[in-house]
Amino acid sequence: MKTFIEFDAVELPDHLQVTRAKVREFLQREFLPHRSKFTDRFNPEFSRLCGKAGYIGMTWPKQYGGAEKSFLERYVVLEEMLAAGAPVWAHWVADRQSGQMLLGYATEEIKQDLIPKIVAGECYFCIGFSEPDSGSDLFAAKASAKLSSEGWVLNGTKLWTSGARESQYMIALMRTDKPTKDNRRHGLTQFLVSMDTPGISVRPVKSLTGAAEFNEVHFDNVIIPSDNALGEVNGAWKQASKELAYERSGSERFLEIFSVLQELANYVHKNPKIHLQEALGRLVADLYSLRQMSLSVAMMLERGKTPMVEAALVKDVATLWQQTLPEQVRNIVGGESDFGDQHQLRCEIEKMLKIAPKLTIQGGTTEVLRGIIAREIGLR
Amino acid sequence: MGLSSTDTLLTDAVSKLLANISTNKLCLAVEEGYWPSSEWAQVVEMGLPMAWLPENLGGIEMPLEEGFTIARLAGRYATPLPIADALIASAIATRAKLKLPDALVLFANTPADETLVINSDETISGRCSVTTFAGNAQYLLLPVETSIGSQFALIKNSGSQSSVGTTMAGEPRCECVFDKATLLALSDEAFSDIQKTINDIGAVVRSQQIAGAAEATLAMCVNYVNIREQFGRPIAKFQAIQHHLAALAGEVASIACSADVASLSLIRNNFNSSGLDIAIASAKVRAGTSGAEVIRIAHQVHGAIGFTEEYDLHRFTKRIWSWREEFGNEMVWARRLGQRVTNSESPQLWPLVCV
Repeated sequence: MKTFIEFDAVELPDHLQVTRAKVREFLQREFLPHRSKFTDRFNPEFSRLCGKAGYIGMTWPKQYGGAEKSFLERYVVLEEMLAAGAPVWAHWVADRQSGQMLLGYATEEIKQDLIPKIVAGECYFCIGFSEPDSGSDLFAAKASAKLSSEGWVLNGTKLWTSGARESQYMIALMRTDKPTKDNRRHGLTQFLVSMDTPGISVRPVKSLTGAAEFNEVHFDNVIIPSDNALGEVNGAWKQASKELAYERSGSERFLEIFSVLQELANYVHKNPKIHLQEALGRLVADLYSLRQMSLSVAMMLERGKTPMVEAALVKDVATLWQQTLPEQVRNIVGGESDFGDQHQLRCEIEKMLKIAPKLTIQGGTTEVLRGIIAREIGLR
Repeated sequence: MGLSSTDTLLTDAVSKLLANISTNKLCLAVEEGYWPSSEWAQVVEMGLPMAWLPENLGGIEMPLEEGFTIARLAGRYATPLPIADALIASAIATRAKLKLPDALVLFANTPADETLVINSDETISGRCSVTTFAGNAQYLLLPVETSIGSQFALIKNSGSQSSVGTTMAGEPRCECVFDKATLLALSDEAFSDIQKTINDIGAVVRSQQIAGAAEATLAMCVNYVNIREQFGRPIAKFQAIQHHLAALAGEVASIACSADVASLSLIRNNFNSSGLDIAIASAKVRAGTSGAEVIRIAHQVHGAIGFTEEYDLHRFTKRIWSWREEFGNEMVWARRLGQRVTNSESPQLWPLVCV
């Protein structure tokens, strides 16, 4: 019988517990006592502290400032950061995917220039994939790049770009040719774009949370060096796979709004009623299982496997769970008598309810993931 | 399954045997009260029930991982035999250092709030709680209360038995009453946490069985939607079906991964963890909650045929319903886990979760 899905059960090697203890010391020293000064999620000050401590680009080659550590070690560092609620989002994208992208496809000069800056926590990236008419369907991107004597000339609009105002660089997916009859994925190329290039304008898009985390980025005859094409021109679709598995299955998929669960635990600790304990226990069991699945994908990647379906499954299951979390917590405690307007847990629920709708959209929607999973398990 | 050291030769051989004997016809016969003695003999011949027991206690001492693999496979084929139950008994016998006879030995608990004691003439009187397949066991392993505490006792199952219906899978359950049953062996040691030991081992084995049944259910669904045509094409072409099965795969994955993690945890702790093991609690919670989703989705995509006795799906559905209740259902384990969090000095979740 074909079982379709294989998750290796993982035990972290002992030396990673040392890493974990060190991250906790770092957070205890640099972050937890000063929480109030680190309120911005996009926080260059904290990113530089992470850079100094060697927590960015951990797996990258030493010649560019990396530490050539294992992906599992990186996994442990990141999950500790997220569980503590540390404001890691400035360097997050560069550390997770853009740096890897540059290492794989950028010129030597670019690598030597940018990778050390990323590692130092000083250089941040945003991702320009989505457009007004191209969201889940990335291959419908219209924003274009044309090669001229001065370099690549970019025109068009990217939308939903997080961190576009604060980041120095974007990895942009641009149309460089029409799709072919046989391959609608043909014709797209990734570019390194410095956000201070003339012709780029950024308009913040306020979200329902009240913050403007998204942006609309407009390119009006933006000229970038011809060296800034990353990888094969027209062949961006070939460059995805493995990085995608890392992106999909990381601990942010179940820890982004973990604090609401911790607040529930604090509440039940003070009000140890049996129905509350049972409800809390269920959610903790969910969290534990999701982490094990995510960790298992990290381990499989470390072993050189490409667990595409497993990574997609982790994101699908984890983001859906995470999305329901504030609502579930609300259902558990909402009727308790002491649960007034100013209650800390209520504030946390309200904050996370506002974030919840996007969790199953960012980084690949539930629908797209489910299409991938269905194909991978053999639905033809 | 994902336990890395699992021997694929063993998996292949066991799969072949179980696939061969675990027919819908046999399951239905068992539901009617038939005891499949020749099939059981084949399973015994391969050594499956005694897989965990050391050689000096009468077993074949397979690596611990392989016992869990056998439980997974027994679930994957919905084998209507007490293979996993015998494995649980052999795990308990290993802990109790009791040599087992070459026959069907099952573990039977005592009813809540009742205890078994040893009479002055070295016999045991009393009853065990309702136990699946207990009527077919030649010997029973039971917890007894003695002057030194809780010990495990082995007795011949020769008392009267009263059938108490069946499990949701239609497997026979009975209550055995002993009147001066001969005590064949008693563990040297007393166990301060005897119910915990039983529940830990039982919960992980049941989680593995549910994982196997869930995997089989997914395979059946994938097969069915590719063959079944409606509106002029295989229903696998419909996005609604694709999304159902993707969701199903997620539930199956979480059951299977959690069961393996719990198995590794038991192995690491040599079947004797101190305090509540979050891996075990999570595995049984997931097996219960995700198991319900597996059933719901599988029946939805199968339509009416899945609801029949003629089609294979019911065997897996009913076993998941049955197994999730045993050795603590998801409510019981969730409560234990919640209490573990709130009874400790600090309710910090992360240190508990990231172990």
